[in-house]
Amino acid sequence: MITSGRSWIFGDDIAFDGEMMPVRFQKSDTLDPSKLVPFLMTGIDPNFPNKIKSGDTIVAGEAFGSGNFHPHALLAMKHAGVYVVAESVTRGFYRMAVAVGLWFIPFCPGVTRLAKDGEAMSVNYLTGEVKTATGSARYEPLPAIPREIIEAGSEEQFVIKKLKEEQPHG
Amino acid sequence: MGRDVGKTVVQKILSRAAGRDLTIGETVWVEPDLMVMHDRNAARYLRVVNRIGAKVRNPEKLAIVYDHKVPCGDAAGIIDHVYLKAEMTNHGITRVYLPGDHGISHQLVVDKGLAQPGSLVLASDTHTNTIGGIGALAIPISSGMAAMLVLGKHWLMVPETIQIRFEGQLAPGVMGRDVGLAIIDMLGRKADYKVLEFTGPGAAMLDIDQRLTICNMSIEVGAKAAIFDAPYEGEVPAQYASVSREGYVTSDPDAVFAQKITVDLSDLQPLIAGPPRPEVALPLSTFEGKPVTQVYIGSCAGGRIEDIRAAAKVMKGRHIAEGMRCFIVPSSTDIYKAALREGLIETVVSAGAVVLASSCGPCFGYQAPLGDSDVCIATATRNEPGRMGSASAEIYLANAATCAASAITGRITDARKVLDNNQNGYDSHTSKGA
Repeated sequence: MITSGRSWIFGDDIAFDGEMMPVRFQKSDTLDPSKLVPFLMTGIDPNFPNKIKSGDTIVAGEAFGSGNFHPHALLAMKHAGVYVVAESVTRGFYRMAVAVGLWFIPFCPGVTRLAKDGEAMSVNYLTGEVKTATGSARYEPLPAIPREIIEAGSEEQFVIKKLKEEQPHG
Repeated sequence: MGRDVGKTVVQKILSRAAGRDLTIGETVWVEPDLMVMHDRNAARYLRVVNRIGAKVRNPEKLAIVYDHKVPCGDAAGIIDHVYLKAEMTNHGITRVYLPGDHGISHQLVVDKGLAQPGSLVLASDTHTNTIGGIGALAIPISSGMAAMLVLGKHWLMVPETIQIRFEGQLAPGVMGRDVGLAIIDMLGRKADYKVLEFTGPGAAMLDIDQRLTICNMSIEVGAKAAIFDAPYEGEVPAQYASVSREGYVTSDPDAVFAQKITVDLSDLQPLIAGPPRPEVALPLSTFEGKPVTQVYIGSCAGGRIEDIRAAAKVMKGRHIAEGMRCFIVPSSTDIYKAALREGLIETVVSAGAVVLASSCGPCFGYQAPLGDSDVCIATATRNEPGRMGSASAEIYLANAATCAASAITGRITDARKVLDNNQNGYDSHTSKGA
């Protein structure tokens, strides 16, 4: 999975609730991503949904995804084709991103200094290579198990695939 | 290569569950010994299983415990409960704890002996960490639950461990809650991805109730789990007959730890966490005298028999302050029955407290929600705005004795002053307006 687009830089400790997605969505069952995209990251940047295009990258600081975790914002990112590289992500973000099938590179020390807001960035999520107009770095990509789940589309799609593989042939 | 280096408790338990020797940092599949879901999310995960068209693979390893909505008081919850009952039969799930034999899932699986020392428990609720108090490795997995129900296994990263050695013993009036608050205050958010391992002579003298609360609170600093490496050495009450003392796992002396910390339990005092987050613990005196409108003693961090005993000791022969709302919720039906046998329920009800059926209810605002101007002191798990109702209500977290004393005086109060009433004038007759 290789993306090419622009990078959008965020700070440390960005919370699921109120920052990635308004709190009101967390208490509703709205999981239709097209309805969630217009609110993505608006707790930090109200204009964010208008700026992004498929292939862009959210470049986050330390502990991306703090507080209680919910799938809403991650489903919106996936739908918009905007994936994540971060100095570090929380365990809650890590597990939720794998569950919904969102590409990310979890531990990229220095990546917020490598990137500039709104400028070009390409990311290879399989090799961990991140390139900007002025530099590049290689980080540890996801291990085999979470990668296989994201490649299947989501945890649910992965389970369906595994059950098919278990079926006796013929 | 891994054989040259000693292994942590977590490595040993996960290695058994994976069927091979594991190294810290590996991401692997593991088979749990026990899976747990509760009535608030079991229907959600079983709907996914049904949508896939699959069956629960190992129903004999799964327990479903009613705890969040007992009694159920909303339309969506009733639909879930009806669906759940049918689907438990459909999937052959027989370890089911319906209202009447129910309780907060993390407490119940300990009390009923379903979770054993040395076992791997993977469960849907955030506060699954609690179960580590009896030496099980218990990890919350939330969204991965449906996949685990179908595949019978789940993926995780083999975590690093922070080893915390307890020395000394708790002073009177200091409870498991205070140990938990002291530890999360000390660690801040440095525990993400890591497991807390409790060891040492002080750990051996912490009883099961204290241990469950200490492990429970580890989730507030992001710990993946928390675990004691040896059984309680004191006398175990009759209601813990099902809790095994065998099977605890210890780390090798040359195991590699992310950090080692020593805590002298005798140094600890009653603590309190004010809004908006639980991990900033302050001396109780910081907020002493602040008026409160509601008191809640319960939740998976504070409704054990020791908590109800502490409340009853403070409330005996006294009455709660005028206008105070005080809710006491034994964490499970078994704990409720033990409290009845010991006469604790009569004591607290005579003092003006309302005892609710065992559930998580008030902790997430499902029962007895707070209004805009309420100030609540509770043994609850969390205190972020809106957790127990209105986002403008304030929630303070403290031990059960502090909560009970605050119910008596109407203000945040050190229980030791109420119990020592001759010197402090806080007895039942002078409490109003004190």
